[in-house]
Amino acid sequence: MLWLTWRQHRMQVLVTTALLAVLGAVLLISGLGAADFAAQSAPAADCVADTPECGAYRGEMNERIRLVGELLGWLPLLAPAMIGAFWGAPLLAREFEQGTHQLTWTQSVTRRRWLAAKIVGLGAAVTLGGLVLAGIVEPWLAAFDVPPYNVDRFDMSWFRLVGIMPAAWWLSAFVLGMAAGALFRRTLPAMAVTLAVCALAFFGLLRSPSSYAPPERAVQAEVIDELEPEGSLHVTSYWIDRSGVKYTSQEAELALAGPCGTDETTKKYAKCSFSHGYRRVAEFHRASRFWQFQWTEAGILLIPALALGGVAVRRTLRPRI
Amino acid sequence: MTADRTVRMFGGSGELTAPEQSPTALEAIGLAKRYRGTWALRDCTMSVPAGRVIALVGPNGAGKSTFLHLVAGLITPTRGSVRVFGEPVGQRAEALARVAFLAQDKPLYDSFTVAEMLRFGHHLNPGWDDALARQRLAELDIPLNRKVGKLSGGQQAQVALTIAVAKQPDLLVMDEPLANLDPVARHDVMRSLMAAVAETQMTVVLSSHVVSDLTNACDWLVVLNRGQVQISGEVDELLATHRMLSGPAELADGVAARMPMISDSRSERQADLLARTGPGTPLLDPRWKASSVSLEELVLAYLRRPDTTSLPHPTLTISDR
Repeated sequence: MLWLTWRQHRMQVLVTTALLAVLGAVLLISGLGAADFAAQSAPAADCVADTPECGAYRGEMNERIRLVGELLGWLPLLAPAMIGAFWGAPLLAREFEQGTHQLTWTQSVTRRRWLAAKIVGLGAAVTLGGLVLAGIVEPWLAAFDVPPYNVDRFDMSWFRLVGIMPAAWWLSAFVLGMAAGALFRRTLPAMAVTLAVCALAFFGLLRSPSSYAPPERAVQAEVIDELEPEGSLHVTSYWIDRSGVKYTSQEAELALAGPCGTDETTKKYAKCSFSHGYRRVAEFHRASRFWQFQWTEAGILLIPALALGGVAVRRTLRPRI
Repeated sequence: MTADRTVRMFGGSGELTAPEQSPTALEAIGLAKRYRGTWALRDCTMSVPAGRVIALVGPNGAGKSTFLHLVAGLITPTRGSVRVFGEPVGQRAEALARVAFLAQDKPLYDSFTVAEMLRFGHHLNPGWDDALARQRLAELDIPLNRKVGKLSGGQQAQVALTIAVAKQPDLLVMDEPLANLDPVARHDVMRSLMAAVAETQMTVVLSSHVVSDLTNACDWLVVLNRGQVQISGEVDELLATHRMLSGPAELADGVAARMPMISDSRSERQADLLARTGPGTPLLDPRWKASSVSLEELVLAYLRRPDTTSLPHPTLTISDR
């Protein structure tokens, strides 16, 4: 049975493996380059941001990570959509379309076993592929995470490329595609629906992680306070005055323009705003919530996908036609 | 049995053999199937002995495919039951192993090579006879390394038939095996089917809406019309018990009252009556001439009169009318 699954879907497996290999090579080159550069020219970790040496280093690292990062940024949308459309949708739809289910279902293997081999075999492969993607992105990110440059996997640019996110997205998309194929019984409509649902899910969840738990709130107590600990997921920040009334940054700037001037980057400005009773407030999630958020999003994706997959499997196993 | 078939296959008339007591290959009781409010098959009851080549004949839309899909376990009946060798049809490996099914379009995986199709059969069937399959394909000059999609229609039919035969089923079910084939391919497929039947003990059910395709090959006839069984019986017996009676028109009413008439065509002076005379020559006025009928004439006459039936056992008459 596994031979049949492999024989029918080897193209998808090989293409996905090849693409992962190419990506791995690109990230390896980029990561080695960054590591090399960091080893040679990283200034002291606690260098001040506005010194030229520190700024140049950060700028260069930023340029290097942006080059590949922009490419990677498409992956959380494209990869699940492709997995759903090319691994999931044809799985059952093509059998129905070409009538080959009539051939396979009348061999000496029960439909249940046949379906189990396909779904479990390919589902495991897809999950493994997602884990491999995270496995090659994480060391690449680590190569850039050389102080004073800071890379943070809780950052929304990377959140869906690390941990279990690629695996969860890929597996959900695969199950979604399979279910669409079983319900529509035609490959193209199943692919189209899978692509549409994947895109909707991606844009729907794009900014949602910050609401997966109530954020922590920190109020500035001293001028030089760093409100958010290292590696936090920033939610929002605003100003309050003595009576606790909220101000957006612009409103606060406007109110402070008279007494403190307009150059809000200086320490003097900060001290001035502080003396006028203004405090900065930040809402954020600590880095320790990373895994909680990963599993929350995995659940949001996998629970409906698997429920739909269950319906599709039941319909397929019921001997209708 | 086998010898008798071999004679038939080469067009010999074959003498009437004494009916032997063989187990029931196929038994349907009150079998009915409804699709979205339309009855494709209603109250279909029949019993066919093992070791036969059964022709399932009927006009388009008579329910032939539905009946065969029910026998192959691809669909479940709305009412009634179907048993193959006494066992209910269903999704159990041992039940599936006893029946091979060749669907109407002879679906195969187009991207597989012929050798891979054999491997497919080998992996999915414990009773697979690989030597038999390879020998058959070698005799037919079908190259093993050719992609199935690149074979001619006749060759694809032969590959599909080879897979069905090499499964070594007890019952081979074929839905319109000769449809979409050119006359040469029809002949070749039929001949290689009959050769396979002669070598094994399998029972074969094949459907066609063209009676002449089947006359030389089959020894049992089932006629389905409007979702019901109209005839089920041994071909030789059916031919022996029906006569075309030709005689003066003025005496036709008297003859028609004495025995069941299947068709009745009268001109001013002459009447041609197709009658179920029973065994032996009927005793009639000497002005009547009794001649034998061909299977095709017989089937046509029955199909034109859907209210007439010819069923082997009184217990199996159709009740729902």
